Amino acid sequence: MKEEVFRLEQVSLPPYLHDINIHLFKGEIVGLIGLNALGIEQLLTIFQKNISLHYGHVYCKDELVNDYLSSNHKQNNITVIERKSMLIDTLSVEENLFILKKGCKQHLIRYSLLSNQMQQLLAPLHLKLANKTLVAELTSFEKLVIQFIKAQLSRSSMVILKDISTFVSEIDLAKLKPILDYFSANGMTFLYVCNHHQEAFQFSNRCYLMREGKIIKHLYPDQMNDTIISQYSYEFKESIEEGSRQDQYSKPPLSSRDLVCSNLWYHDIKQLNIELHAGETVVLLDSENMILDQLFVLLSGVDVADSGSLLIHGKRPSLADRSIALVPEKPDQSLIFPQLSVMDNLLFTSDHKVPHLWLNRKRRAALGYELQKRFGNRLTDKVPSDFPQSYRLRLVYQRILLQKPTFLCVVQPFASIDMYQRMELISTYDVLKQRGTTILILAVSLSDTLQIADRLLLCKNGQIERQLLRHEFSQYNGIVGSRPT
Amino acid sequence: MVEKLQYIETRILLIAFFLGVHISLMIVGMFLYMEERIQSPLFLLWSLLGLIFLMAVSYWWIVLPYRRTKHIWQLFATGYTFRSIIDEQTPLAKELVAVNTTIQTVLNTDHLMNASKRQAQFLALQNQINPHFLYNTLEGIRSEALLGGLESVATMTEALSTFFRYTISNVENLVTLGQELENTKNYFFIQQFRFGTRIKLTILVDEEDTIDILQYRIPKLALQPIVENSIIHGLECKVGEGHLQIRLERTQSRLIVTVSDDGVGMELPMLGKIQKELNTRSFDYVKHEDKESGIALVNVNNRIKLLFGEQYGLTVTSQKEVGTDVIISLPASKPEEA
Repeated sequence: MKEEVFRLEQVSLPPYLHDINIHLFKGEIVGLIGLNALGIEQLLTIFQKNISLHYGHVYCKDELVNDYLSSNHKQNNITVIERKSMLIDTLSVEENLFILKKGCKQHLIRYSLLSNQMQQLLAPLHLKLANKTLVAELTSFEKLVIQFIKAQLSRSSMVILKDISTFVSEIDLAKLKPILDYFSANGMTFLYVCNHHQEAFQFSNRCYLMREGKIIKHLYPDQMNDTIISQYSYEFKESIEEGSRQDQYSKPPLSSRDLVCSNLWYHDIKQLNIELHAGETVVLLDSENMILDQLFVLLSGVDVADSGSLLIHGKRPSLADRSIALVPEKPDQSLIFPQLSVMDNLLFTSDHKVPHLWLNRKRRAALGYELQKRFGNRLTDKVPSDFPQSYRLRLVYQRILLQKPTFLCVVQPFASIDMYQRMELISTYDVLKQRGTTILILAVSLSDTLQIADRLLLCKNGQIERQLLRHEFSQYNGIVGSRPT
Repeated sequence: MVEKLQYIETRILLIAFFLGVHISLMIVGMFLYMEERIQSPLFLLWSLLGLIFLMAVSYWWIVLPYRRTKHIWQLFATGYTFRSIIDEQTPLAKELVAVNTTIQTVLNTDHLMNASKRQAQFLALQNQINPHFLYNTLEGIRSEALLGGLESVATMTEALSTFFRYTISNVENLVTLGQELENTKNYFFIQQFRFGTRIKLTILVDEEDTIDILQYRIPKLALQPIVENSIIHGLECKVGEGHLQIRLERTQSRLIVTVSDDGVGMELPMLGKIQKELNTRSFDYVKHEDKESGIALVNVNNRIKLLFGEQYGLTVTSQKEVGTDVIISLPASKPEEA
C-alpha cells in the first residue's frame, strides 16, 4: 500500500491557484513543471505553511492540516532546498547537522562523536568530507547533499527542490540521481520544481504540469516523453523554429574580434583562451561550476587577472564603459532599483545616448511616451517588489536595448523563468543579434541557451576543452532544454 | 442562555452590554477622579486593560466566527460547497438555523441521490426499451446462436446481457471495485466488437495490492460511464489506435482510480465547462435529457460527493492531441467496514 505523505484536494486561492489536486507518496520523487510561473510560489507556500485558503483541504500524512474553514498558519515539516542554502557558512557541517536542529538539548558538544555520526551518514553517499569542514568551503553539490541529510535528520515530511539546476553544475546533477534514489528508498519524498521537462523527467517518478495556476496534466512514467510535452509547449516550438529566426545564424561571423581572452590565469581559471567575433553569440558551459563567477568578476573590471590578458574592444573591461553590458544571474532581483521609478530604471544606462538626459525632463517624458505601450502608464511609479517577475525581467532587458551595448555578457539567462518568459527573452536576444551585439553567455546548465547561440564552448578544469558549432549542437549529450533543429 | 451563545447575534448583544457597562463605569470613575474622590489613577489602567480584554474577546468570539461564516456563505453562493452551510458552527442568528434546515430539506441527499442514480442508469442504457425484456430477448438470441454454431454472436450477446443485468439490478449504491471493473471490462468487450483491435484497454495495479484493492467499495456505475465517455468522445474520433488505461492506487485512506485515454482530447472551453461543473455543487444537469459530453462525469462526481463527502470526487485534465485523464478519488472502505 502506498503511503500518502502530502495531499492537496481542490485547493483554490484565486487569482493564483484553481482547483489544485496533488498527492505525493512516501519515497517518491515528483516533478512539478511550471509552463508559466503563475501560482507556483503560492503552491509552494501552501506546502510549507497552513495559510488561509479560498477552498480546499490539505492533508499531511493523512491528517487534515489545513482547509478553507480553519487555517492555523502553522509551518508544516517541509524542507525547501533552493539557491539560498539553509546552512550557515561560518559553522562546520557537524554543527549545521546536529546542533542547529530542533530538539538538540545537548550542552556539552562532543565533536568527535558528531564527526563520527556525520561520517556514518556520508558513507553510503560516497561523499568524503574532512571533520569540522566549514560549510563555506563546500561546493554547491556538497551543500545540497548536506541539506538532504539535514532534512532526513529533522524528519521532514517532504523536501522541495526548487530550481536546483541553476546552482548545481551539470556534472553534479548527473551524480545527484543515485543520491536522490538513496534518500527516496529510505522513505524521503521529493517535489522537484523546475521549468524544464527534460530536467524533471531525469529525476522524477511522475510529474505534474502546471499552467495559469492549474494542474493541466498528471504525467505517469509512460507519458513522460517529448512527444506529449510538445503538445503543451507548441507555442514555444513554433516561435523558436520560425524560419527567419534560424536564418540569422547561417551568416558567417565578422572578422573583427570583440572579446579576446588569452592565456588567462585567475584562481580556478587556468590558461583560458576565448575569442568572440563581432555579432557572435557564444555559450560558455562550465559544467563543474568552477570559473563562471571568477570570469564575471574579470569581465566587470572589478579585479585583474593573475596573468594573461582579457580585452573587450581592445581595452581592459571597465564598469563605466557603456559599450559593455553585464547581466548577472536573476537580474530581475539584482538589476532593479526599487527606490527609482520604472522610467529611471529603464533609462539608467542610456545617458550616453541622450545628452543631458537627467537634466532634461521633456526628453525623458518623450522617451516615456514611447515606452508606455510596453510598460503601461505606471512609468513614474517606483518599482515595487510585488511587480511580476516577467515585468521586471522585461524592464532589465529593455534597459539593455536602450543602452545599445556592443558586448553583452549574461549569466544563466534562462534560469528560473517560465516558458513564456523564455519565448520573450529569445526574441529580445534576436533583436540584440540583429543589431550586431556580441554576446557571451556563461552557463552552468544549458537550458534553452543553444537556441540563441552560434557556438558552444565546453569548459573543463578551468580551460576550454571542446568547441561545438551550431550545426554540431546535436553532438552534445548533456542536459539541454531545447536545441535548434 | 449558554445554548444561545452559539449565535453571533447573541454574542454581539452580550459584548455590547458589557462594553456599555464598562464605558459607563469608566465615565463614572473619571468623574470621581476629577472630583478627587478617587486619589489613585490606577483605576484608569484597569479600565484600559478591561477595554483591551473586551476587544480581544470580541475579536476571537465575534469577528473571526463572522468572517468564517461569511466565507462559507460566499462559497455556498458560488456553488463550492453545500455541506458546510448545513454544518455551520457559528450561525448568525437562530432564524438562520431554521433557514439552513429548510435548505437541508430541499437538498435532501436521498432525493438527489435517487435522481442521480436514475440518470446514471438512463445514461448507461441510453434508450427507453424495457431492460428486462431486452435482457430476456438477448438470452434467447444467445441460445439460438449457440444452437446454430455462431459462437461469436453468442459471446457478444452474453456480454451485452451481462452488462444489462448489472446495470438494471437495483441492489445498493455501492459495489466492490472488482464488480465495477468486471462490468467495465464487459462494456469494453462489447465496444471491441465495433472497434476491433483499434482500441485497447490496460488495467494497471500495484502487484502487492492486486487482490486487496478489488474489495474496496465504489459507487455502482462510477467507472463504466467514464470509460464510455473516453471511448465516445476521445477514442472514437481518433485516427489510428487508441489506448485506454485504468490505473488503480490505494493509500491509507483513499482509493485513486485514474482513467486515461490518448484520444483527441478536449477543447479548452469544453474542459473549462466540465471542470466548473465538477467543482460547483449543482443538480441542474439532471434536468438535461440529451447526452451532452461530460454529463456522465458530472453525474458520477455528484454521486461520489453525496455518498462520501465533498472532499472526494472527480478531477479532469485534458489536452488536444494528448488525451484526457479522469481521476476518481474515493475513501478506502471495504464492505465489512460499512
